[in-house]
Amino acid sequence: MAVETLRLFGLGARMNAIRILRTREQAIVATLTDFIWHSGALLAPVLVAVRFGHIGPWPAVAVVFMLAYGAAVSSLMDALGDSPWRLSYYIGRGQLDHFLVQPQPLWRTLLTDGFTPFDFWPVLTMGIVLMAWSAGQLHVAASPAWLGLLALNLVASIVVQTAFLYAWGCIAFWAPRGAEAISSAASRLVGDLSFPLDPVPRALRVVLVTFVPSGLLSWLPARALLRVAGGGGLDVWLTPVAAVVLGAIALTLFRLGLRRDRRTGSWRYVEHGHRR
Amino acid sequence: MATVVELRGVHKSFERRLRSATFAGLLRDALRPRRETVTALRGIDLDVEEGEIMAYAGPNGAGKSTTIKLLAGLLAPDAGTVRALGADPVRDRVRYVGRIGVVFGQRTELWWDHPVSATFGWRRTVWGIPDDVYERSLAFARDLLGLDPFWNASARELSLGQRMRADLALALVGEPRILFLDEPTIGLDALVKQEVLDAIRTLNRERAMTVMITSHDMPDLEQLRARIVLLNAGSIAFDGSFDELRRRLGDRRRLVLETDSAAAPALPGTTHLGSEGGRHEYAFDALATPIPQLLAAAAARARLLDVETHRAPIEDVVADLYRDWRGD
Repeated sequence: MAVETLRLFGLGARMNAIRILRTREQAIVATLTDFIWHSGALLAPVLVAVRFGHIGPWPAVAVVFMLAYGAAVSSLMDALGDSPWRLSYYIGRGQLDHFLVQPQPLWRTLLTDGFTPFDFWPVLTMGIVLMAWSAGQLHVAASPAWLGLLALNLVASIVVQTAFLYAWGCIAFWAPRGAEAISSAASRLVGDLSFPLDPVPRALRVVLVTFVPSGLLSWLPARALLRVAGGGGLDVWLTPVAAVVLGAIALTLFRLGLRRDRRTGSWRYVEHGHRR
Repeated sequence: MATVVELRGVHKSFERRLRSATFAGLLRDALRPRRETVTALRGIDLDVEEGEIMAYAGPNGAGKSTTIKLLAGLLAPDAGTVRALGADPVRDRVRYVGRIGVVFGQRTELWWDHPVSATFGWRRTVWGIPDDVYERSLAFARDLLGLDPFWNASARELSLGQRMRADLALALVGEPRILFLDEPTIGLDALVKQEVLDAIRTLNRERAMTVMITSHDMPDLEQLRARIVLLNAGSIAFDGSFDELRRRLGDRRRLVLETDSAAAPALPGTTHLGSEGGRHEYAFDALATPIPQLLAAAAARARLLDVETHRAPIEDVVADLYRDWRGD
């Protein structure tokens, strides 16, 4: 099972390389643009933190760590392809049919389809370098256990974002004709935060780590891993636990929706007065 | 011959929401949604034998695409059983779809920003096709459908005809046992359509491939010399050969007379379709009105300069049938 999945990731990488290298100019421009775009997004909070030395209880360097963590999550999400961001489009436009005629389990197709490793490496590299640099500045003891927790939290943040987007995207199973843009709306709801959430009122903070879990994509894990602003201890397990819960919810919704889809089919491609 | 597709008492219906265009109607629909049930298939029974070409036709909404989707494992029936190659297409999907080829005429499986060749490589990996089978089937498909001129072009640069040829070739890689083609000739020009139809015939003749094809294009289907199954409102209304279909509906013919007068002579047992100068066209059923009798009647009523008779185009025959079904 794992070998087959890796084989399909390898295939995704090959298709990504073929697309990126269509022309030399495109490869250079795409890579540079991606790098400048993401660097620009990090710059504002870093400048604020550097100007004032801190944001709330977060030292400037810790803010850099949090942003670098968020950049790593965001780039890995991009690398994993389009399905979390475009699930409602797949459902509403009947594109799931294309996946279902492939002799692969659907989970594997959704996981590996659109894998784009050559699109995301500049931002991931930047994220890793900045995380390493800021952790060093904060004198974090990068023991194997700490690195393991960092990796676990990174994976958990990715699962949280994917599960959130899937759970929303699944609504399209029940309302496919007018709901193709649900995933776009959901992706605007949840994204990595540019500022620490500590100064935010408690009630809003709770919302931002539960119903709209933006806080789990960088703020809470970074706070726990760096032990800043009162974080630490068991906090480091909050994001992984949330990932399990949200993942289970998304999986249940997806299965229910898919079962319905097998009964109803996609309206996009049936012959009763819908657009083709 | 073995039965490769078996449908028994298959029933499928869909629910459709009804919507209003007025403000009051919209409010009412929001509070109390109105729905209607559309029955796509009404308990159909159908067998397809190995090595057969089966044309599946019928008016819009008759249930053709629904059947193909059931057989491609994309839909489950509400009642009845669907078996193909000994498998349940939905329950055994992963194993089953590896042994069939599916082409939807209005959709492409080609990777849009990639060379055509890259999509074939993608299919080889995703379908897990062994090297020898891949090389053999690819060489056959490339040759059959003439892919060489655009093998390294991006899919987005292809014409519709080239895209369809590439999609059909893609479905052949891995040597599927059944090929499901949903409107494969839609939008194609006459030449490309001919090439695609020739390819289907060759596949069936040389590889004994079972082909199930839906189309609205009756002359195309007749060219394939296929068994034809006509669906009407979710039920099978006809199952047989094109010759049988013509016999069933009467031996519909056209008569074209050229006379020295612009006035069309009235001929009993015919329908006058139109005149252009001294050229007059009639439709008639040769079983009810024998040709010698008709020609004698025409000669008695006008001075004939030229006479032609030919069979009515199959689409006219079927259009009449559809009109009968609709109650026009």
